[in-house]
Amino acid sequence: MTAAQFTESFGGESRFDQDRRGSCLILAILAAATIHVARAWDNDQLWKYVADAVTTVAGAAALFWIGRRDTPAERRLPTNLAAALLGFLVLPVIMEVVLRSLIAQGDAVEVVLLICLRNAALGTAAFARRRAQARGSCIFSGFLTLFAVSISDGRAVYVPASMFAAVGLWSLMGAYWDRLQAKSAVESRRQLPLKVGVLGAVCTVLAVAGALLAGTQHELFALPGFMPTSGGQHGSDPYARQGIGDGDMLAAAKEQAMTFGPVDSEQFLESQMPSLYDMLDDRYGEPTVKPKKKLQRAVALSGKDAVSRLQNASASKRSGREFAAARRKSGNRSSKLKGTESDALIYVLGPVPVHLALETYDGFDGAIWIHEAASPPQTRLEMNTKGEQPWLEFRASPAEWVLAHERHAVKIINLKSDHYPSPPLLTAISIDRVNRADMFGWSKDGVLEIEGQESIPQFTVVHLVNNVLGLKAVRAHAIPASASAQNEAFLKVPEVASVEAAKRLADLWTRDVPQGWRQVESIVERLRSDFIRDDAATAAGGCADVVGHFLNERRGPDYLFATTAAVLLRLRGYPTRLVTGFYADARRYDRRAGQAAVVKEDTHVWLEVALGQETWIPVEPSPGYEPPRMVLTWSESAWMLGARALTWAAARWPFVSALFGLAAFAVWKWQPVLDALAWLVWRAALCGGPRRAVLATMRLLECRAWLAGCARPQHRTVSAWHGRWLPAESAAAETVRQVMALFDWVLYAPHAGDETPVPAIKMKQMCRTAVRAASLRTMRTRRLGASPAKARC
Amino acid sequence: MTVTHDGETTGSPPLKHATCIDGRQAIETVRRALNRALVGKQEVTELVLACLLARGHLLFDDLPGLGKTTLAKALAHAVHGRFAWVQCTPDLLPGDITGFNIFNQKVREFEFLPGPVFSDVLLADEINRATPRTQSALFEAMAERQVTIDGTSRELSPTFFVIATQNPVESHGAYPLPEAQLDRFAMKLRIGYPDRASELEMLATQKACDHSRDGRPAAVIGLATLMGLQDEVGSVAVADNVREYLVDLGRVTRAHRAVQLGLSPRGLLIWQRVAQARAWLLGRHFVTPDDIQEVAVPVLSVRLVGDFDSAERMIAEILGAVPVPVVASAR
Repeated sequence: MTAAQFTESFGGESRFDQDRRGSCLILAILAAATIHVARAWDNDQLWKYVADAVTTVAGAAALFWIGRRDTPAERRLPTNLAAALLGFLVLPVIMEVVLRSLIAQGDAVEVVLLICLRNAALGTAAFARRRAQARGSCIFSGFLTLFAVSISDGRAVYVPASMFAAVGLWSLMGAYWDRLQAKSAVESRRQLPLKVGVLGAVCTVLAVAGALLAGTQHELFALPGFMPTSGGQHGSDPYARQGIGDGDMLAAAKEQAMTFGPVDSEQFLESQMPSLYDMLDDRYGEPTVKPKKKLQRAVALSGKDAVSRLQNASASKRSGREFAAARRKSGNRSSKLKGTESDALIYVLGPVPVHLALETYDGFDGAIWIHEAASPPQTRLEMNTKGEQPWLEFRASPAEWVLAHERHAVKIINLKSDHYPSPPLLTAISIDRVNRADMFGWSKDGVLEIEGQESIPQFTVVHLVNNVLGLKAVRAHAIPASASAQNEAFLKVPEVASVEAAKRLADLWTRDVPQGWRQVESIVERLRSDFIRDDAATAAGGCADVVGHFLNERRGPDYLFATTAAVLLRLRGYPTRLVTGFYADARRYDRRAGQAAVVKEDTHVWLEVALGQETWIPVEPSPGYEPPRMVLTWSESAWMLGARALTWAAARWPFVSALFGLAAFAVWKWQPVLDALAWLVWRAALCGGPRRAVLATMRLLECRAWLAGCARPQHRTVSAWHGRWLPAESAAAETVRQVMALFDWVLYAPHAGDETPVPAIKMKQMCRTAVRAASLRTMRTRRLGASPAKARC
Repeated sequence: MTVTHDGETTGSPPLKHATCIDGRQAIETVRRALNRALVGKQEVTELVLACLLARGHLLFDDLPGLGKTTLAKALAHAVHGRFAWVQCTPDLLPGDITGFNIFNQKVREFEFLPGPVFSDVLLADEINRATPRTQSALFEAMAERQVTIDGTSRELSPTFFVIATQNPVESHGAYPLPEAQLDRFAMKLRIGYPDRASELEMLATQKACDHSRDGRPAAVIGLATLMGLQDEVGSVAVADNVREYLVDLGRVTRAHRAVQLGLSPRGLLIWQRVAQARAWLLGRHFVTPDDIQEVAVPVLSVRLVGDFDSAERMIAEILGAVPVPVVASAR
């Protein structure tokens, strides 16, 4: 007898529990299944997944065949088994090397390491000698499952992961109860927590129903900042699982930075892409009011000056356009790029929704927004290199306001624009290998633009970093209510009839609100809540006072919301400007590609409010669009989350109320509901033979005892345990006692199939009597009576 | 040394009543007799009866004056058997128990003088005060129901029943029973102090018949009837699932961390027999896990080393570790 066997015989502390090893092995297998499902979902090349599965199964089979005679009683692993374990561990690395060298295919490094870890978990669980090894295997399995869930976008991965969680939880509970049992063995038993279990089941049903109702495509995965982004690692790996991966597709541009673009084609030279103005016209219709021609005095200049003027005219051409707030719908024009299948204008990687600005307007005459007195920002553009990536950095917001940064990558597809689509409070921009600052410049309206090109080339990937301000800091900042020379242009209001009414309205909405950002929030919130967004409710042709029209109609498209908000805020002394661009909608987020498409319908108009020097904070007055993100405190986040949940539930109140009603009933009356179901099963079984009837009665009483909180411990017999809970003083007591004896008879008496101690009919009658006497209520009453502590509860 | 033979019950004359009455009625009569002798200890008398019907031997581990001898004598009288009482002391010799050959001067031959083991009920009082050598004299008698003296094996009574007592509080001059000896007992019992009402009843009863021979219970069951009942108990059915349950319990005792020596196969057999006896006493023809559990403490406590209280805790752990079968055996 070896020392281990001796220890095993006498139950020493180091004795390894077979049950523990079994549960660890189940956990490892479930973790391996999770990894496989995640890979199968994410793998475009199915053969790789199949090859891995075949290799794993073959390796595991060989390993278990070699170790088939292994027993945990032997303290040391046999040499051949140890060698086989090592081989099983490094098998994925060998396979990877072979695949890469032979057919230039393979997996990412992290995936190979993951598979090695999976093999380690399986091998350790199967041949563990000590509890520490089993625990290590469980930790490996848990890590694998978490990792697989985090890297996979597939829903199928949640099935094995949920099973893993259930088995893991049960295993932990078992270990706890086993330890407890070792300390005091009399009444400890392993039992599912009933109420928690029912609550968990109800919550699961609610979550599934909510997911089915809401759809997981957008709400659950496209929450701002929640989804994993890619493209920010500054690295390139041909075997990488995902990422924007355009680095190799761009020209090197080492000698001539202005030639950057796709290697395969130079399509940007002959571009058919639509401009923002085409899309605005497509979306909102054509302007009904033409801008007034401004006559300017002409002065003859010398030839040298004429060249300079021409150059200036060329530059101002880009920012001399206008945005009409009075429009008329017209037929859509197709402006899709030839040879491309995607409708997307741009793709956005990073947290969505996000506002991407292309143009800003400061002057407003009652119907048309124009660039009036705006001057480009004076911020100096500096090119810095971080890692191997050139970054153009500028416009630092006051540090005390900035609480976070967001990073996006925008890929230009079908957009013709010389302005970079810029998130609010843009602070840095990078294009791969473009390391010259003179490739970038400011437009007069303060948007970053490309220099020296008519438009940004197609397929260019632009990395953008923007600041996210803290709401608390912004609220604390006192926005100047009076006009200054610098922001006078942003405070001008049109001389139209509705101005007075608008001023009264703005004063009314901000009457009890302190000066500052809270007044801005108040006006915006009133617009969002009291007015209806209706893209068809445009101002009539020739309308010269769109604000008056909007305030009267109380409905309109987003540009009327933005225009009215801007006017109202200017009337309260807050510098504002109108912004046109795109709203990258979370509903267009593609989980598989990890990016959100921006299409023509995402053209959007909003406004910005000046806070300090050159810090323009976006404001979203239109209902249906998420406000630009700000960092909130925990309490603010909680309130906002609660408000959103209530809004969501209110929009679906019939279904939600029915669901919650059912859930509340199930939680409130879960015991009678389950008892009724068990009773139905018993009633069906009563139609069978006498033995079946007795067995069904026994199961029903077992179920009732479980529901009543007095479940039979595993070491107690049915008759002994249930005899104590059943009434001994009632008229049916004798019958119940006889039924208890019948339980013993049906379970333990040999040759009980042919002959019965009492006639079959009488036996069924006795069963009915016992079921009536041992009702759920009776059991609960007697349990509470037997346990004063619980009765008090 | 005190060796007492009860001459009055020597031999087994035919009974006028016990042989003609039904076995269950006879056992009921014995039960009443024992309960009269030991007032307020019905659970103890039930186990004593189960031990008797299971052909086991009984060890009382209790303080003096609690009725051990009274119960033993009452049992001997009730089954109409020969009763022998050995007061064990350190100078008691094995021959004093088994008997010995003595040279008869008249006939000039060795003649065998039977010891107290040649009885139906043997009370070995304070058995732990006898030396291990003397204790070992009971090995063969208890296990095989025979003794071998000077190379000659002599059969004992087929209903030979040993009731041994030991005092748990006196350790000086005592020789703890070896495991091999303990394993030959079917169960170890504690009588304990009676409750107040029982003591009052006992005083009232003994006042009327103190030391009178009329106080002895009348013989109600013959040895032949007892043997028939013991055979009947042996035929009580044990289903496969119950047998598996019993074996699992036995294996748990061997793997339990606090048990130095697990249950032997002989102990397992005795456990099953005692459970059969309990089932029979309850009027059943099959054994249930309840029967096994109810007799677990007296059966196991004699085998699992430790004091009685810790043994009870240990046995509760062992019983709690094995789920009872709730699925009928395949037939």
